[in-house]
Amino acid sequence: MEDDRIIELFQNRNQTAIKESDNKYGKTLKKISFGVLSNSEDSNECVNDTYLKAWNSIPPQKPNSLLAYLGRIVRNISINRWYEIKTQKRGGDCLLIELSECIPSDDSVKDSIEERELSEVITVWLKSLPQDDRVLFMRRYWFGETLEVLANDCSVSPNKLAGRMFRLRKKLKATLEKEDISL
Amino acid sequence: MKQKKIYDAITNVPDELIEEAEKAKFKKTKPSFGKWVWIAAAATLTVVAIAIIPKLTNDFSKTNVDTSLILPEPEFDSDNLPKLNIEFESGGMGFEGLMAYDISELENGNPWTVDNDLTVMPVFRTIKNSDMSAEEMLAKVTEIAETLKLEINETYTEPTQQQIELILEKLEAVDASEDEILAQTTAKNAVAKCDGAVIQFAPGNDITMYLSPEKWSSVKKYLDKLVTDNYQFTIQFNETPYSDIGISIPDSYSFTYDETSYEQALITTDYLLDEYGSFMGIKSPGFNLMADYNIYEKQTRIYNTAFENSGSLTERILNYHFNNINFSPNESSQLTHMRCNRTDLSDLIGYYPIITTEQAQEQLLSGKYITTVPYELTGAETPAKVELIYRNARNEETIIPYYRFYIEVPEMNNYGDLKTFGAYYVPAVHPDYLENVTLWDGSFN
Repeated sequence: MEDDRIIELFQNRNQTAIKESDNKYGKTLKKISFGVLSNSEDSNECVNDTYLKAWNSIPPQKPNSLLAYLGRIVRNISINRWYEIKTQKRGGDCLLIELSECIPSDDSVKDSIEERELSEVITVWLKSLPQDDRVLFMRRYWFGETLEVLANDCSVSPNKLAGRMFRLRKKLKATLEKEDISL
Repeated sequence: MKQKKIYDAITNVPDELIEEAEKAKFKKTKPSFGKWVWIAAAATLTVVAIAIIPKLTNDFSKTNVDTSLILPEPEFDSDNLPKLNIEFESGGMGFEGLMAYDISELENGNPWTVDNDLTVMPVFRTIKNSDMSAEEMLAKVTEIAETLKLEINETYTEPTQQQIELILEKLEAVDASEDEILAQTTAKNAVAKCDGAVIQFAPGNDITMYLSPEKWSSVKKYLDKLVTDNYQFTIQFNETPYSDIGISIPDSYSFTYDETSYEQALITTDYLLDEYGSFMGIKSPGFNLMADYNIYEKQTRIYNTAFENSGSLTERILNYHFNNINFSPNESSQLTHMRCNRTDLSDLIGYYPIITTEQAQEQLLSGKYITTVPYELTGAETPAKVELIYRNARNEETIIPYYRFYIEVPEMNNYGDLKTFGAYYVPAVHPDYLENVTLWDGSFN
């Protein structure tokens, strides 16, 4: 079912909206959450919480992209869940470890950047990349896809792809340092 | 934690980058089309809503409500019709397909039939939501509450003025751009809290009402005024926003998503229209009770919708798409919500000549189609069904008729004996009046 029809179901308070969202995006949302949590049960819970949050926010919200809307919710819920689990000392590492390689060195005197401003800088950087690199970065760090899956889709070995991802992270770090950004 | 800050910043990159990444995945893994077809939107046929304009409606009166569409006489002036710029709004990823054991199960109540004598159909410009100030929205929500004879205890915007001031302070401290400040400090809707009711108004003439059963009894007699004032609205039968508690209906009616037959749904929706939707003034109801199956082979009803099915065929088709009322149950078979959908059709561009079903099918099988289905037609297919529909994608500039063909996609028949029928579109407007023909390279899927 198309996004507008699903959003219409949310607006009509028709519970089929949840089922249709799950039919269409359930696997993607699970993949995003699993990329953060590495735990199937916890990921399922996060996806269910995502539908509840969407149900409670549409209306009045009218997302332009249902995928982006649901994806952001599940990313936020999953990362918060990851912190809870980490506090309980029963979780493993996640994408955050890889992203730590993008952190600029901390010798800047500039005040910490706001998240929104950082998002704008990353957006500009992403748009400056060749499409293949941009898509790779997004599929790894937004959709949480594994290196193996990405390597298969790109018809390269996982090791080769890991090298490419490493260079992308370094590029982002260099961009943030060039912008004199402190986190 | 610094990694978390980067993670959150990546979370909030624009929608376009997210969709691009998702689409690119499909480009790598699905067969491409590689044919010339007309770009036009494949996304969403919405039966969504927004209000109909006085130009196309009767001069309503409180005592004799008539909410059906009255169209101007078709005037075909071929010299003065602008060419239509066909757009493509994907509406996100995935493909448009419905599952059923037989195509006959996908009955949707569309008044259009193959044997018709339509030669022209109206095309409209999409009316975008206008910006409204907080004061304008508060005035509107107050006016609506007064129309419904509700006593207002409190009005506010969301976000509230106090929240807006805090956001503003924070954004100014980081030298945020004017655009960003405007986006973050604009009220999205206005709320009136009343005894036993909460009224929410949003731009686009869209109202959500949360009503206790007692308030429903007192408010229902004023709803026709909201219809004639061109509002569209959702009513929740509980004064607590987002609650799932509704109104019980007699046990003799079956009102569920999963276990109600077409015949039962017809009886129930007819009852609900009489009992709760009479303010719509529908005299000869038609019904959209479409259902399809999920991957667990369970039939799920998508709509319990009624519309005015009298007047010319064109009027009935427009009522079906743009002027209707839908009822929603909860898991206890209670009526939790109903929505009065009314799309704003005030900006008529003109009546355009349309091609016949046969001509549309010729174009379809010669590769001139638009679809989100990731499988190319060979040209030898026999469509299981065709209907004329209006797409109403919110971000497109025009509302244009299309022929929608349902074609079985054997590659996707993965669930028992269920068949998947993919949707393939051909613009119904004559090609002489279309532009923006471009290459469909399969990149969408």
